[in-house]
Amino acid sequence: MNKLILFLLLFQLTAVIAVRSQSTRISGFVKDENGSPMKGATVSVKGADASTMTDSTGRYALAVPGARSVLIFSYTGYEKTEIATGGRTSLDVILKLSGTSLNDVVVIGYGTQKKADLTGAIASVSGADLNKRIATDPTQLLQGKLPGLSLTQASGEAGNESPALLVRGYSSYGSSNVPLVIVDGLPGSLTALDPQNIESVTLLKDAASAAIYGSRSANGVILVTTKQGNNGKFQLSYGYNAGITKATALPDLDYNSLDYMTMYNQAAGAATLFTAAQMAAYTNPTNKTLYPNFNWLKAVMRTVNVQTHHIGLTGGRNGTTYNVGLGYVDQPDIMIGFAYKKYNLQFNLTSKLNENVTFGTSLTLNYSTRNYPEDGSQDLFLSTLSQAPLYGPVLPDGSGRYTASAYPNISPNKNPVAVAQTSPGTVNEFYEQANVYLTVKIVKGLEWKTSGGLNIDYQKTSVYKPVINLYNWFAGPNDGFIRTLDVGGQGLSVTDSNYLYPVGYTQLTYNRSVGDHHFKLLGGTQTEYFKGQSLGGARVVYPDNSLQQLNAGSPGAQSNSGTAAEWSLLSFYGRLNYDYQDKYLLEANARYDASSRFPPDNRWAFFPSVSLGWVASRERFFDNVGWLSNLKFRGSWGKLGNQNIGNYPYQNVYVPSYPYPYTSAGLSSGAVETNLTDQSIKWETTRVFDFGTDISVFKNRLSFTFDWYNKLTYGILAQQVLPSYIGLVAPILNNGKMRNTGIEISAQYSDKIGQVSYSIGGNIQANKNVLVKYGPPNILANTIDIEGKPYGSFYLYQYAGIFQSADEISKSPYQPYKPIPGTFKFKDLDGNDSITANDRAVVSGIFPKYEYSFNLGAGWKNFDLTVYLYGSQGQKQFVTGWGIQPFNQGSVPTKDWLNAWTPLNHSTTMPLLYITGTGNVSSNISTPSTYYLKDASFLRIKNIQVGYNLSSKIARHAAMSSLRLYFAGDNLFTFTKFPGLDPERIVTNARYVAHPQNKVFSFGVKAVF
Amino acid sequence: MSSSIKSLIILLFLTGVFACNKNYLDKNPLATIPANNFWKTQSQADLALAGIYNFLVIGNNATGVTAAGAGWGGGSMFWDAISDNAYTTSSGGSFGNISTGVIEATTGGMQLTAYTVSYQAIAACNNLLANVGNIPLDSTTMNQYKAEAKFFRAYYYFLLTQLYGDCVLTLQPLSNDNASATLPRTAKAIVVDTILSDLAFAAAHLPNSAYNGHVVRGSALGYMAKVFLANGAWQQSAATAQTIISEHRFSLYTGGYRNLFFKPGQNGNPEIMFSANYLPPNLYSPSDWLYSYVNSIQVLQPLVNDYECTDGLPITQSPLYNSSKPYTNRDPRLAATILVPGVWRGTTASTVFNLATVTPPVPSGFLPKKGVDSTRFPTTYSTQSDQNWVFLRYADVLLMYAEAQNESVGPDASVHAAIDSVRQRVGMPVLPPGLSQADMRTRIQHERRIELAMEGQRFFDLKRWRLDRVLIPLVKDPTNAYRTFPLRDTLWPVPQSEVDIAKGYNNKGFYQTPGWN
Repeated sequence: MNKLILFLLLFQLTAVIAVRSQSTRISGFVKDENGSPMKGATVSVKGADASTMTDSTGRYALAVPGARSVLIFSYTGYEKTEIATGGRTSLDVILKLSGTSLNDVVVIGYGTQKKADLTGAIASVSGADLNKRIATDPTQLLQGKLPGLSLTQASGEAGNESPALLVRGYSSYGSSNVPLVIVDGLPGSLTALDPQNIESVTLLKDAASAAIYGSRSANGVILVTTKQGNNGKFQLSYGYNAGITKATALPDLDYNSLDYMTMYNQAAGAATLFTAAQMAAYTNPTNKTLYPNFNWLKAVMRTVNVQTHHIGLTGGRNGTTYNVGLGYVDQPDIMIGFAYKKYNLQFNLTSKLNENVTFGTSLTLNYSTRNYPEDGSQDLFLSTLSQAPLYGPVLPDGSGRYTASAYPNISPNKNPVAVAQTSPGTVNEFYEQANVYLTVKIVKGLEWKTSGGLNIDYQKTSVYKPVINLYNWFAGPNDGFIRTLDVGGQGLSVTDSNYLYPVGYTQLTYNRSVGDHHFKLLGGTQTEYFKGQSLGGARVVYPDNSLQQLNAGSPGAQSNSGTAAEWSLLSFYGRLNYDYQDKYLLEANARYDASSRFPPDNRWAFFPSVSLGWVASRERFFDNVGWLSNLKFRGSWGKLGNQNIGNYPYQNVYVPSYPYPYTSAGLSSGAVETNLTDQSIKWETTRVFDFGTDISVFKNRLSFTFDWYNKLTYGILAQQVLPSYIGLVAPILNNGKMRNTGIEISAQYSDKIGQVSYSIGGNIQANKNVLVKYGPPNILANTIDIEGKPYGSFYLYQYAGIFQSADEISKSPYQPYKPIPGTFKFKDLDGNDSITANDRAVVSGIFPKYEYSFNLGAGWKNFDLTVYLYGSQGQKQFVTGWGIQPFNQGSVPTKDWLNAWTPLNHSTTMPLLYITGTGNVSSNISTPSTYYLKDASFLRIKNIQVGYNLSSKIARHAAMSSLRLYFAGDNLFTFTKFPGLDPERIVTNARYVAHPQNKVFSFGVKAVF
Repeated sequence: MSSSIKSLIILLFLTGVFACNKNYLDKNPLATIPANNFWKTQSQADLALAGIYNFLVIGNNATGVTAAGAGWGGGSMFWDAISDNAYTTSSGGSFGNISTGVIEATTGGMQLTAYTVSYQAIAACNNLLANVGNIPLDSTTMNQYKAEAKFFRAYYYFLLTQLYGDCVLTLQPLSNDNASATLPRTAKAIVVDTILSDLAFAAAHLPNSAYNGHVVRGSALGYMAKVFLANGAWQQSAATAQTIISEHRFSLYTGGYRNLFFKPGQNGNPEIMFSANYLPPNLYSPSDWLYSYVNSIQVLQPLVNDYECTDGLPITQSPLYNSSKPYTNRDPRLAATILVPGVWRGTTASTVFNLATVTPPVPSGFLPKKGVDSTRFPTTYSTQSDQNWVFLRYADVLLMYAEAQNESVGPDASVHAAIDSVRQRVGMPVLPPGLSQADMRTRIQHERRIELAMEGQRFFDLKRWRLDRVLIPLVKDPTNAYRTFPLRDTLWPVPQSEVDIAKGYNNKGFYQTPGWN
């Protein structure tokens, strides 16, 4: 192999030849479709360094090397147009708005392709379109933009939004479902980018388009391209956005102290009631500071101002172009104690060393600081709900002491304000992704590209847990504290973790046309290596809470930890494209992959794909159909692989972290074999069929894309279901089959009425997931994995109403937990007159039935408007605990509970009041039943933006070439039946509370100088 | 330098970085020991053995109730909360739910982990027993490793039979094949036979010495006596206990009853025969914060009332009892075991045990003191406790002897001697002469409750005496609710997931405990 590389290098060397020729001058005007002059359009000579920009009249002038030169006209948002000069000295051109163009080039795996020639299922979105919304993490902007991609934002927590991406449903249950993200050709992070530096994002959905990424493409591939510079004048731009941010929705809690005490006494056993005297004190109190109706949500939730700055520097000359972006994000959080700051540098450089050799690099540096209270947002939220309105976070005497509670009959969870103010967690992250590439045109049609990249991540996490004394709300100045704040430990722990992730590939591309036959061949090899390491240290006792470094703590109680892991991949890949007259299209891909995660005998696997396309509109019989601009049918078949199953899934090991102190002399090391392993595991495979059609009519004004797919994953690498008496964790093995079938439809229409241009579009995606083969079902607390049903389906007792009388109970089947009137009744499904485990049933709704989005755009003179709606239909959420159940650690009931069942109020929707977590009533009502399954369908006005572009005349007076002002609203309104909090969420522990999503009103400005 | 040469250098560099390496795809774990390298040396046998002992300290280093291993190691006091000794509202181990008599196959907590953890420990024992023979060791050493593993296998099977009755029995490591996944529940009597034979092997091959952290012959004999007793084999139980007594390796500790439960009293203690050991800061117990910070276990008044006066008479009869000073003139074990209002703990006046201000509230009126280090008060979740949790001590053996001998022979002099020595150690008067067998039975039951109170024994004692179904429904919790004890609760349901999985494998030999179908 080394010899081959040497040969290629020599070959490349000899192929580098400079060309010289005579030059002539050419000039002209660039206008848009309305005939308006376009200022700032780039005009360059194809294959040469020369380029210029148009002036305010749209005029350009430049020297071209000869009569055969080709000029390239480009302007953001418009179709790139190439025109041969043909010896002319004057050439005017009209640029067309892009968007529906088939001449657009889209980024695909290891290359680019004309949209018209695509045969695979691909969706793409431009950076300009993405940046119509404002977000600190560009991943969030993908929601609803790429049909086939489902994006759920886990929460609105600053810097920890954790958007979950899913392409065409869950394709696996043992290994990861996260799509592969490729930034500028190499695996990278989308989150680390500044959204404004993104040129385009492409989603590879089917096997045909993704198979070239064989090993990790089963979950789809997201290709991100960052902006390159343009040949021409240096251009400086500045963007600023300020967003007033608050929670989209909060639960409606009853923060009236007297209500709270009354309801609590209704719920509690005799031993822990509020006394008459205590209740009297809160009845029309004269001292409202001492006897408040304290609203804890208001103490923890706030409205904040999120700011982003972006400076862009771009330009280039003599074949070298650059694009530099500097970004800064200051994102305080809507919950106290949380904040995020991000500093970002993007540096892209492309340089033509000569006619045949191009060198380029792109570099992302990202530094961020994320602050959070040690217990995280869900815990802080639930401990907020756990506080009674009878007291505030700090004592009313002005001493600054934190409150434990008002009366000892209830033990609330930790004081959230105290936690947020005293127990900081901080993650400092430095992330770098960089790559360099070199392309060499060896002979006509043959190009050699080599690219190498390195991603480095360095994270330092420190969490400080102080000892904070908590006092009774009514404590006198000399009263002692009654407990210390529960921060889950004491002292400082610091963890350094880092990874190094180098990747490199080298490939040859060959292009050839013979008559109407066009061929394109690609072949290459790629290698990846990953090593992650961590080192941690902790000290427990600190003299006070002001010094929060390890050395400031007592060395008496200290500990350390550290580990490392690595994996590697080696691959060969290739592609053949063939078309006849741009009418009949064929593409074949193959990848041969090896992963260190599999045993030596099963390391290598082959992932082929093939796709066919027919551009029917190019057939003669459509020649007379004037309204039809494009009609294409395409179909594909292929296999994709997945190996995201932990680093060492087949190695049988003893874990040496089980020590034991036989005597006080010291710890003896201990090791336990904890897991069974399967030494014969191999790649998990996903087979995808895809059929699609692309139609555009009325001169491309209306375009329409449809895809149907059938995705079957088999040999799924997942943990076997085994009885626990085996005593070891069940092994990961190839087992199970899962099918996803679905459709994706998108349509877009743009037109103009007088001076108003407008566009309207939408897309809808529906996916159906079913477990085809699984083995013994896997039943968890409220879900089941069973053949014939969607993966992770709800498996619940059937709520059948509220017992209204003892008589009704005695006439009903036997129910566990000794029900009393006011508690829940469950359905006896198997008819054995007793509610048992056999009365659980599968309930639909774990996945949305369909997701959809609409976009509207309009422009009039210098104004523009975009409206964007996003919706999800048919998903249910199982939610329990704080905010749903009353008095969970004292949690404040929602106002619904004012209608609780009592012997006098025979409610059929709310059971009797109870103390969650204690006694039979709680056990009965807490039974995982359909009662807690809430409809989480929603449609939200995701974004509205109104913009004004200052006329260039006025802008020029301010030394600017353009200036844009806009107002935008994000998550403005949500239509949903989900109670209280936001329906968009990812909560794996069945809790209702989750960091709220954000509603943002923002103002922004973008100036180009 | 021409650009071509420069580009050549860049390309060479790029390709050089990723030069092919023969072992490029061979990546092995960096922080764990490969199994094919294990079972080669004696130090690896030591690693595997310590790994088994580590199951004793589940919940170590916990800083929250969920992780604290309620019912295991330093969290063993939770067992008293499902007897008539104590009360809990804690979610820890689901003991709160279990105590009220509402146990279901999905209750979780101890109902689940008693099952899963026991089988994990048994798997570790079976693994050692199957593989230790690969290590070149002399037969005495080899048998000692085997004996320790068999002791633990017996220990965990004993727990399983006590709680669930019939259970899956395996003496070999299991795998993921269908045969392993379709084992039946074996009749309890057969499992008990296996337990006894394991313990007999352990007793024969463990060193006959004082307890030093490793189990010894006395530990094995002690559990053998317990297993016999729990299964009504009075004569064998008495004989086994008598062996321990006559071998004189253990004795009652005279350094103070309370010090049995703290260091340094526990170091080299002649009475302790088996315990879960802790050593902060790297392996510490949650005991202090569990019992004095979150107040998860609260002692019930009837236990307090059950302590005699110093004259050996119950408070209902003793002239020494003064209801206005109820805690004076009482069996000294009361003050050593139970924290009563007004007692100081920690260092400042604010830390006196005061029912009006204590949080979380203590509606039962009492907190435990045995095994709770008052000097560490006020405690937090970060308090690191070093005290070992005692599972078996010589006083227990004496009382087991008394019980077994009284049942098989009657209240002879040796029965009196055994129980009296336990009483005299704390300065309590001996039992009166002339007790009938039934009287003696009551006395022994009383003595066990007092001597071993809050040590996690009472629940199993009541089960053995079949008094759980009688006494537990009489318990009135601070909520004013009476507990229930349906007869089916004498054996627990196995986890619902086990039944679901057995059904998935069509494993007909595996069934839910009767009463929970």
